[in-house]
Amino acid sequence: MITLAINWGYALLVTGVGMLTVFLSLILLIWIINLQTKLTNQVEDHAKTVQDTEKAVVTTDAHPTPHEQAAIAMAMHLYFNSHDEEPHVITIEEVEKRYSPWSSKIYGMRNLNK
Amino acid sequence: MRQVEKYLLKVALLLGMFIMPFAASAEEIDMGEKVAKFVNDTGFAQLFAGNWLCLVMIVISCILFYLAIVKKFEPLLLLPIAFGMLLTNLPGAGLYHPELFEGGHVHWGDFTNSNNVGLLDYLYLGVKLGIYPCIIFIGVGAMTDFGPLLANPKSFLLGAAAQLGIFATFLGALALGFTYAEAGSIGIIGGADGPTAIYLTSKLAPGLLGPIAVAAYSYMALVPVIQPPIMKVLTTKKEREIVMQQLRKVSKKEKIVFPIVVTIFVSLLLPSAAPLIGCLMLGNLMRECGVVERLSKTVQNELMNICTIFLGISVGATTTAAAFLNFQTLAILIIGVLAFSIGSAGGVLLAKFMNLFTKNKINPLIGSAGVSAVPMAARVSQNVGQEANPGNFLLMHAMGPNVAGVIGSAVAAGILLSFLG
Repeated sequence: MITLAINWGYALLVTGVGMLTVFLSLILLIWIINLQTKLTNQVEDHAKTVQDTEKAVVTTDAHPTPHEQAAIAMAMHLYFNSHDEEPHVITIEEVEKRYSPWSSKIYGMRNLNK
Repeated sequence: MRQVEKYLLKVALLLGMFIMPFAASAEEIDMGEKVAKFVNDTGFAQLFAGNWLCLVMIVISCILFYLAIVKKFEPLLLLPIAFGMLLTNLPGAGLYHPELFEGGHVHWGDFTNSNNVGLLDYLYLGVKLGIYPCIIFIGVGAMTDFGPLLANPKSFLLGAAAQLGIFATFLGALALGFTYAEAGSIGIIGGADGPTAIYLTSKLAPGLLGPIAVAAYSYMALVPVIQPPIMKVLTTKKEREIVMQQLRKVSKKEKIVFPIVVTIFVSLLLPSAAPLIGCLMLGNLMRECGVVERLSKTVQNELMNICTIFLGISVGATTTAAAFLNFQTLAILIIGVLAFSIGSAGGVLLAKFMNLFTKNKINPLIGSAGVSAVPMAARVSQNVGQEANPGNFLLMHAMGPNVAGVIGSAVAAGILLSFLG
């Protein structure tokens, strides 16, 4: 440590310009990210619209949607009042091999971005 | 019989030929002198011959061992640092020679004489040339999820405000009589970012590398102790209870484009920050693109761990008794706490200020996470927030300013480097 006559003007300049640059660069990054988000969303929306249009042209057959299928199935189930016969036998057996993909270490947190 | 006699004579002659040189040299050696030299060469003799300060440093290294192993204060770095400190202060071991790096330059010529170069001198080259901090930054980038920051870009402002600690400490260090370069290096402790602090100090004030690294990592470990009182003093209970809006989902495309855009923009604005930002973003791109999983895993684990070991040992090696046991170190340790505190306060105060204008209120507690210390500072925000409102989950909100702080401190380091370097 050398005690020098400090040029406080220069020190304040470094501080002022430093803080200003940090703020300015990060504010510009906010602007860039917002722009990037807008562009990405626009591109995705456009791609979706094109896809939907193509789908609308192709799907001219009379297949019901999954929601409609579920509604029909539920209605039939209620109408016929039928369900599977349950044997009422507990069949849970202890497995020999306790390993499963759910407890696998290789499917850890780091693979979430797949 | 004559033949036997002849044979024995020949054997005696041969034995004589072998034994004579040893017998002759044994006469020349002064055994007493040799033993005295051996005794004087031992570390114990050197310790008692006036190197008692080394003993103090060995005790300090043992305290750091205790903090790392028992108290678990940043053990991944504090343990190698403490061991480097121990090795460099063993009298006579000659593992590290500060004179090879005198004046802030590497004296390459002296490296040719391997008798005067120790193992830690070679390892220290990685710090001196700025290799280890940058490689560690690749790993940090690969482990960082910028999703919360992209979901709430305003977090960048909190990350910027927390850099107030760096510049305020810079002024404080100048007032205490440090040079501009030294003050800049001390100020960067306020960024709470180990690799950045080491990178900048190795460029600006290599003589202070040891104390600054020890201070930076010790205080980073003490974030849960230093920050909560500051956060509580600066906020009301009502503010601490604020529940923030759910973050939006960030698409993979956004996450891939982000590191590329940031690298181009920041490097063009501040070329001196390019090594740190570039490495951070390279690691993040490896993580997000999903096509180089092997590389991503390597930089997150093996590469980063290897560099952490080398960085820790070589930084510890710079803490020789002469460089560490002085007023400077004490001053650095005191200013370091102030740097952390001012940085934390800066983030909290800006969050409060932003609440005056924004519709969706920000919990000011996430502002303190703007000092890097990933993810410790974000966890502190979460814990303090849950003390006020147990149903409040601030962790993901706090991760935004937290990772913004990493970028902010790298930018601040670039500014200091271009002004003071």
